Amino acid sequence: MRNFHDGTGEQPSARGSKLSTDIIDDNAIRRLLSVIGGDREDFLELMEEFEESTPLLVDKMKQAATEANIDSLRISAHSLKSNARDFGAVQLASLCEALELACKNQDVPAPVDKVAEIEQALEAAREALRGMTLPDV
Amino acid sequence: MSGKTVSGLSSDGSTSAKGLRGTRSVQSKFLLYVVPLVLVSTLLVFGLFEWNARRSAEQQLQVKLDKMVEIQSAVLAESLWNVADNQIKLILAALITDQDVLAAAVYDERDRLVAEVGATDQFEQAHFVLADDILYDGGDQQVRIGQLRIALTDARLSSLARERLILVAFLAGILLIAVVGATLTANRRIIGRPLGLLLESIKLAQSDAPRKPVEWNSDDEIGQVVSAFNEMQQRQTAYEQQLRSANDELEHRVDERTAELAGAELTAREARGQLTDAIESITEGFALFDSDDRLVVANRRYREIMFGDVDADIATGTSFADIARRAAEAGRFPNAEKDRQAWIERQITRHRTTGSPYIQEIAGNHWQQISNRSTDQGGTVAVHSDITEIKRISDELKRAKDAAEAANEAKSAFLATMSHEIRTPLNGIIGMSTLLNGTRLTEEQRDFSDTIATAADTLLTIISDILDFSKVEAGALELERTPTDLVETIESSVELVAAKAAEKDIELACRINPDVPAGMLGDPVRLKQILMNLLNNAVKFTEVGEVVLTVSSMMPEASLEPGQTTLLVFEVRDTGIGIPADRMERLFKSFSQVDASTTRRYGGTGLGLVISKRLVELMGGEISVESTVGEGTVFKFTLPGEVAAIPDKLSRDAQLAAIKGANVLIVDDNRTNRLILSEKFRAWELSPRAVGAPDEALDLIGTDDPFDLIIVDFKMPVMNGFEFTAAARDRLGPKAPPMILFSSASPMEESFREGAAKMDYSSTLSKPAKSGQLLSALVKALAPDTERIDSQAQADPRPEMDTATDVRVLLVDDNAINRKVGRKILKRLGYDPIVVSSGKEAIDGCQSEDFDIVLMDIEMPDMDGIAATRQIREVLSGKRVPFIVALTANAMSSERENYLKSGMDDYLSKPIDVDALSNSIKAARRHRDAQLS
Repeated sequence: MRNFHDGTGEQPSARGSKLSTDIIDDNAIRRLLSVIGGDREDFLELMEEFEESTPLLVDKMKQAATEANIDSLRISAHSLKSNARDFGAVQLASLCEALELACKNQDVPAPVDKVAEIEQALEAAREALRGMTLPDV
Repeated sequence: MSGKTVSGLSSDGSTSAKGLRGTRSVQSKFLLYVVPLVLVSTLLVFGLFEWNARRSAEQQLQVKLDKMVEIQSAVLAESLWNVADNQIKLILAALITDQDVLAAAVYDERDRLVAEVGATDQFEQAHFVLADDILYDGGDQQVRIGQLRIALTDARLSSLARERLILVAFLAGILLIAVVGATLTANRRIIGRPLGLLLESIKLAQSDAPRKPVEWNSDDEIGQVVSAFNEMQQRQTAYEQQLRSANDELEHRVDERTAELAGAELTAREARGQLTDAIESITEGFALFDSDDRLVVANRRYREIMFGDVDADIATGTSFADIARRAAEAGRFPNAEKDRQAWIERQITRHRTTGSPYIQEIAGNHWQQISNRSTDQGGTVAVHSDITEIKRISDELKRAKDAAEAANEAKSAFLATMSHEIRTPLNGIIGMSTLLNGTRLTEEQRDFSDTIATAADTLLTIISDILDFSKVEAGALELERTPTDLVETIESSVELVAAKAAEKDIELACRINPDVPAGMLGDPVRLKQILMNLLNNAVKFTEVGEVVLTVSSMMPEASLEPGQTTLLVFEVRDTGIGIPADRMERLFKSFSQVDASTTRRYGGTGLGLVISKRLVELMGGEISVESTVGEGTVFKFTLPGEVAAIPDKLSRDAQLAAIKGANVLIVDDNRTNRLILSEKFRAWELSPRAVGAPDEALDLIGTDDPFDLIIVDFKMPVMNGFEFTAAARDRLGPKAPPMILFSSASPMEESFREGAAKMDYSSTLSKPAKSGQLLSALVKALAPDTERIDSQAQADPRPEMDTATDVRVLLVDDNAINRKVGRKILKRLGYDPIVVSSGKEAIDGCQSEDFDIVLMDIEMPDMDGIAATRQIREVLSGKRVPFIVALTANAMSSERENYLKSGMDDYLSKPIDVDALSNSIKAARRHRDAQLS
């Protein structure tokens, strides 16, 4: 919760809050928007970056999974987790976190399946983000 | 004597004759030895005496004869020379008068008799005869002139010897009598009597009379014989007694055994009857089948279950198959209706499969459980229990459990939803107050706004704490370990309950001992949560009086240098309703306030103390409570930890230096407040003077030693703060020092505001004042120049914006989005960061350019942030090293510690918190300034 401290003061009943709560946490979006200073264009730029860079990360993960390169898998999962949190992709973030932890414990039973799951979650998150109306700040 | 004993004994009967003869024999044998011995020894002794006496008497006589002859021959010589015969005769006559002289004769030189007396004829027979020459002395030679012969008689000697013999005989007689008498007496005394007693005792034993021990005490052999005899007799008695009792017991046993045998048959008969009764009376159906599955016995309940009739007639020997068939025909088993034959066969199979019980439905919606057991003889015991009721309860329980689980799930879902719904508006409040803080505000407004933000923040924390309760209970709660500003944490906790305390008109005070370090490694959020909980409780349950939080160190001697171990004690004391002793132990248990009525009256979840207790324990401390009903309660907890340096110390030191040594007068009617303020001022090296009565204070300010500052409480009896201030200004005129007003009254009240404005206070503070606020107020009043710089920085709505550009920032992150976000945040704060995407680039960057701060992502491929940091420090060794801050999405506090250990100066969590980033940059600037200066 501490992370929301410098939240925007957006009215809690604001439109869009119902948008896609399951996949994307609005508060995170507001927070991100607020920490970069509330500039919508900047935000859209970040969104584009997200659209572009996250599939690359998943590709990296896929490769690491087939090669059973646990270290590389862990770092990519960590990286994607961090991005997912920035954009409030709750489910994606928690999947990545689980994978990261599993890598850390050197116990990854089915890495390819895990990555496939993450890819699906990422797709869902990207879908949800594309359809989102930006909240006011 | 012996004779008497003997006769006494012999009269007792012929059986003892042999023994008696033995006794007599002992006596006479004894005498036979003693008497001759006495006689011989007497004779020997007296014989020796007599012989000796005789010999000496004869010697005497011989000597006498020699002398006599010698003398008389000399006497006679003259007479013989002169031939005076008459004279010679006279001399001889004189000689014979001696009794012993038997005869004497004188002869001349030719041996012719001259004269003689006595029985000279006996010269030849006499024992004692002596002849000697009579010599005449004729000048030159002696001439033999004659001879004298004398014979002595031993008659006198013989008569003396006779007398002695008589005496000796007499004495020997007496001696013999005495010896024999003594011997006999001793014999009887020493031997005879004990022997008699022994005999008596033996006879007594022979006559079957009870045995009596022989009473004879003596330490000689007889005594030993007697005691040995007594002992033997005793043993014999004991042995006989044993024999007798063994005999008795044997007889008793024989009797018993006979009786038992008689009873056994009866018992067996009874047991058979009881067994039958028991089988009949058990509520279960019971049947025993032999190894051929033929019925041996079945109780009425079994008949009832199988055939629906307690008195159904089934003969012993009926096969189980027949019984099953009859039962099916009786329509007792709904399952048998469809296919009777198949059902019967199933029953037979089940009947033979002993071991696991099975359940069966009976007509009338009843259920039974059947268990079949094999007996040792190869038969089968069937027990049919009615489990209708148990089954009903079990079904109900299952339904209830399902319902409860569903409810619990619903509750969890509700809590999750609720937390989300509550957090959303709270985030709004927090956001709005943050925005509000960004605008230009008066000091008071800023305080309000801060309080709103802190309160909302705390509320948010508490909500999540309630949700985290399960986590706490499961022990899954993790604590932060960051440098914590203790004073700030403690005072902001107090501040949050201050409004509530003021509403109830309770004095709220906070006292931090000077031995408490300024900072400590710990979890400020959790510490605040504990304090808030205890303070809120204290205020809640106190109607009149005060609530005082005291923080002290249990190791006052310990150093306050960072890295030292310390042990703090937090004590929250109230003057509230107190807690009854019997309720005390329930205090720290889940959902239990002191009683249900308390919950209704004061509200609250009752979770607070449980969470507090767990938190204190997690922090390594202990919590305890003491209370007296009606007087108040003291909650106390300990907190061990490590002293840590906190930021902001520099400006604080500057402020303290500016006001050092000032004379401050404190006017407050509350003693605790006076103590706390005085102590705090002394810690700040001021010289405080505290008085409780305003008029006393007025007297003081007129004296020679002027005060630099007066702090006055608003609410005082007799004279309030305004009245006192007016009076003081009146008295001192333009010389009046600046004054600060303390108040717990709501500053919103119009009249109060106007009054305060009129009095021209340097500052108006609400109670309890945070140390920081108080210090600022003191600086403002005492050293306005110092204060202005500080407050300008504080009052600036965006402090980051203007002074930012002089800090050079390097951001290192492999993730493109993170780089973009980071860059945008830093730009917004007014910095122009260099952004690189790997550890390698970061090292190169640091070598080519001087950075003040490096924001280093930890998780990077090829080279992680920790390795990069280490290398930066290596390549820059000897030069100025930037302040390196770890960026991490790992919330694990243990890992954060590791970052600090592995060379990071600070760490920031992702997603990045702007305030935290801003603070880190400030720390970096100080770090740089310290290195440069």
